[in-house]
Amino acid sequence: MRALIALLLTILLPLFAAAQADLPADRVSELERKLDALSQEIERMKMGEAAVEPQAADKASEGHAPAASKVYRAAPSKVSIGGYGEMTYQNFSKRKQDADAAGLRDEADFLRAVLYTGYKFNDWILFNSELEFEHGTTGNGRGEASLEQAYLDFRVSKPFGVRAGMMLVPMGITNEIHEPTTFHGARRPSVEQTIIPTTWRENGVGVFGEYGMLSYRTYLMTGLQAVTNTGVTGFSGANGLRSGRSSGAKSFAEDLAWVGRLDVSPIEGARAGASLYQGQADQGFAVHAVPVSLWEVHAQAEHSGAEVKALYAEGTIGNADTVNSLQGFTNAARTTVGSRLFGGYAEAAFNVLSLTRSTHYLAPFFRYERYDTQWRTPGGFSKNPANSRVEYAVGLTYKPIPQIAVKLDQQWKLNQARTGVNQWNLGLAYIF
Amino acid sequence: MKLPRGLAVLVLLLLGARPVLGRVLMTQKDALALAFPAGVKVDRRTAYLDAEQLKAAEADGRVKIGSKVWSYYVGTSSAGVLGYAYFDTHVVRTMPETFMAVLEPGGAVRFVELLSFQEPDDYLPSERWLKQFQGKELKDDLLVHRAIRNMTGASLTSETLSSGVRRILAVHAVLHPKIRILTSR
Repeated sequence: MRALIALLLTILLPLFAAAQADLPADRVSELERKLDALSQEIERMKMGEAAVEPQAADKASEGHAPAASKVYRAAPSKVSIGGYGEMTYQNFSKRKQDADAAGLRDEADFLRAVLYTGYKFNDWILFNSELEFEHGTTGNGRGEASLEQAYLDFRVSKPFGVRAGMMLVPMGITNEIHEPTTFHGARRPSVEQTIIPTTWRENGVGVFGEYGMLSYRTYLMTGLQAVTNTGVTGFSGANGLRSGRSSGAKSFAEDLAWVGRLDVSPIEGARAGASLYQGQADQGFAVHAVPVSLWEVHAQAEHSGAEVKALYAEGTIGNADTVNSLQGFTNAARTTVGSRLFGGYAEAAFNVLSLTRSTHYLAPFFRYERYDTQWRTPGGFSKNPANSRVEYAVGLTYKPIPQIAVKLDQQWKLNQARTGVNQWNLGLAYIF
Repeated sequence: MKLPRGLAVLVLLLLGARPVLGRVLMTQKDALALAFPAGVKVDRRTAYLDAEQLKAAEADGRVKIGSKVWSYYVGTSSAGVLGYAYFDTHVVRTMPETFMAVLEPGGAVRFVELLSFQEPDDYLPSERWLKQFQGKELKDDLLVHRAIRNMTGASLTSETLSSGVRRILAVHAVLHPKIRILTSR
């Protein structure tokens, strides 16, 4: 369209100038009228549908009631495509906290390449999906391709909609909004990987909406799977609930879970909320039920270049001793599943370039994390002090444009067994 | 077979569903009626930016201006100019949105109104977010995470709309040099 506009201007403006000099007034007037008509046409082309008068909204068609027939009048349906990706380089310290050899290899990984595809069927029904390729390829057994989201939204009204399909569990800050340009550091916060097992998705159905400063989501979803079976590893001492996710792949639905979330945003740029997950996780593999409960509170705010966020989460696993026995975890190995787990973090950042006229973004950040996947262990099982962890991260996030982030950070990873291994990371992230 | 009460309520709600977020939220005609009350004389004008004006606008707005042809609307009464209305269409992610910025005679934003939005409604800006632009001038730091707060989960909408408002303010300023002196930094 730009080429067309340029062509029109190239032809018409010299003509108009010549006309003013040599042509009679009625010809000048005629050229002015034509130029005005062309500028209107250009405006309409730029604005697209918004420039067009809509059909009468209350007119029935195709033998349907007015509301039902809107789908037949709609403009051609639209596909929306987006995506994001991140590449990381992790450089591990050669020594653990206690000076023993760490034995970790440095790693460069194309961590994620993701494509979003959305489809708007009509004014109130839409489909959204997220297809993810992790670690470059599935060819050598190191990577995987996964569907992370695929759901239908039925937006009845702004305060009430129905959502069904594979959905992200609405807990925490990072699980639902996990694009790498939205968090500091090459790695996501550890608490939101270990205590809240981001990216956590399940199949289910639920309702969502917003009213004024409040927004909510509440879903009924497939539950976690506590014990090893059919490709799912089950709960563990070091990673808590994380390996109990079945990721919507033939998820056993013997046990379901309920999750609800409420957020309040009293002023633009500030948000606080809480969520609660309650479900069973035995999926028919244990004699006793394995009730799982996880709750969290979170808050985040930004003002004039400064950003802060914080989260605290706590969970319980009922009959953890049964899980340990089914998983073959013995007390001697200290790999036992904890009966309670907790974690929290706080983070602050400041865009130093907000003090200048530059549109670039350069933010030093600091994050503190404390978490323990064996905060409490079932009777007769002792904990592994390596699971009581503290982490500090300091780094820089640079964005030449808002959709590209280059990250550099140093992480100090400490635990009570003194086996933590520090690392520094580089990250490259994009979103479109 | 008897439906459970909860399911019956859900079915009724879905049957009564009405579109709440159409892709065209407002036509240009309706938007102009919102910008200028009845009785106000509205003139459509077209400006053709020269290379120098384009360069100046891009420097002032810290944004690509894109087009040299800008149509805008001026509302006047016997008391003089009451305001200006500009329209901007840009791509958010892969789909476009169109908005109107209504400017005070002095060059500050009176309000911003969305006309169409083709991306999924998850990324639709709220009225409260749009209100951030009210009273803002070109010299204000209209960048996301600065004078304009980010919309959580809709960063691309925040960025593209903020850029769009800066684009309009910058074009308006180069077309009205007196305003440019007062509102640019």
